[in-house]
Amino acid sequence: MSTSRPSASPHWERLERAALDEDDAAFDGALDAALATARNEANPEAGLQAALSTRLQAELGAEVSLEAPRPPPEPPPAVRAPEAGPFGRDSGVVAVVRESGRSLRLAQGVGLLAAGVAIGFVWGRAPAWQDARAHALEVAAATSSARAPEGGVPTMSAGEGAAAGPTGGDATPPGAVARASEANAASDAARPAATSARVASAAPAKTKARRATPPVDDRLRFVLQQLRKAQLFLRASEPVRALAALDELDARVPSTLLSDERDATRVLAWCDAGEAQKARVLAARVLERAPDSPYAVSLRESCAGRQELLEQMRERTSNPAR
Amino acid sequence: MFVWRPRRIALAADTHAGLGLPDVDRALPPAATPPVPATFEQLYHEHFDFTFRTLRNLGVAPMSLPDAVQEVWLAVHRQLSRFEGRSSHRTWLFSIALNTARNQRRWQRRHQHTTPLPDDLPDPATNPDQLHVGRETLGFVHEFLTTLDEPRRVLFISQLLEDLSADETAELLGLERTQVYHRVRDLRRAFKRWVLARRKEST
Repeated sequence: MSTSRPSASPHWERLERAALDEDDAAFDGALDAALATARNEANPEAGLQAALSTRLQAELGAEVSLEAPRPPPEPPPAVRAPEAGPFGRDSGVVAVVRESGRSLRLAQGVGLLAAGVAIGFVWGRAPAWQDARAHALEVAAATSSARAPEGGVPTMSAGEGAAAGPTGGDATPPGAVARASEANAASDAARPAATSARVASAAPAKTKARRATPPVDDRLRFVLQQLRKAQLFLRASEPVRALAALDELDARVPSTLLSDERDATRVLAWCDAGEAQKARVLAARVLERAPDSPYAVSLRESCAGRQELLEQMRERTSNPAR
Repeated sequence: MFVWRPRRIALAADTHAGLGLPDVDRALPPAATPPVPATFEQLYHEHFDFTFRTLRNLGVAPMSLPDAVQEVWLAVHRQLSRFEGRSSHRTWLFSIALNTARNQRRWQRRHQHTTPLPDDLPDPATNPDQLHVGRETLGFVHEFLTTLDEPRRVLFISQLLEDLSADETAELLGLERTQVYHRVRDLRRAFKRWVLARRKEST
């Protein structure tokens, strides 16, 4: 058996290129990418574990309980709203950090920003304390550093800054200092309402923030699971179910995560489903975005690539002069 | 100064309870952080894929994989009460899978006089639409693995495919951690040489 290439895998092409270039770093990168793909491919087929569980259960009897199947892949779970204050150490932001295992500072910053934006939004809309806000904004620059935060709220949260910005909170108007006591009194009077509004607004804000930033590990795991499911359906010549798996994935996780893999799988699924036109458009987009993608060869050799060739041939036939 | 070194994983003759399984847990030094005790069910659900992949990468034939996986988990069930947490769960499971793979190969040598065609025989006329990057990639990775002797194959699987820690791999192979790093680097270079050689063959 003689083939032009030892493997049709695009990973092989990358490895060959890096090896020929004598670029060890590039080769190691290509090797790691190939091994990640191989590792994913070496996983058991869907349903095998359930079948083996039944066999093993019969062998081991009632000593063990393996019947319960593993839960199906779920979208990243939303973290339950905590009862502590919105910025306390036991707040939902910190819980997200713990669950995701990511940088504490980064997530706290994101949480503060999200909560701050929500506060700013409510602040800008709530009519009950509009007057107090107007006064408070006038003296914000003069008083913000002297005022202690309440309930653990940082001295100047992003939301407060955002609220102050459009009305010129940074530029203290003439006479602002003279009106400082008046403004303080007004804002003190408004504080209970503002505080309750902050608490009320922070809860949905936190939920939104958590939904927007689920644990990265969970998202990645979910994406890989759905991709694998789609590829298994493709291999089983069930492109419609493969597309359904990809649609479910797109609905739950932003398409920026492993976008090349997702788009390449979708192109192949559309090819199998007879949707060559859609496949061609998407393949062109992928190739334009990442011409050196490991999936470029697959895409060019798929129905999408062949369709393009056919059109070029038709064009040449209809315009022989060209 | 006397330095206690773990002995290498038992070879085929050094078996446990006639099952071809080494008592790796006793052979290894105490792990730096003992693993949290786990029930059989927890281990099974958490590491089923890991044992399947390990057996597959160790060269167990696809048609024998379900039996091999079952054998591994029956052995885990038998030996779990004796597991003292001296090694990590994955190191322990890997060693059981390794011995199961050896037993499978030995059984096949004894009972099969003809060499069956591999299930994943490459098809030169691959339909582009059916082209599957994963399968092709796994194919050439396995092809490279067949060129390695067992210790280097174990090193490749544990370090490059399964991401075991250097300490876990060192325990598994009876090496120092620095030796693991050096040998992994050598393996990468060997893979590169193999790619170039295969390219030369095909052109």
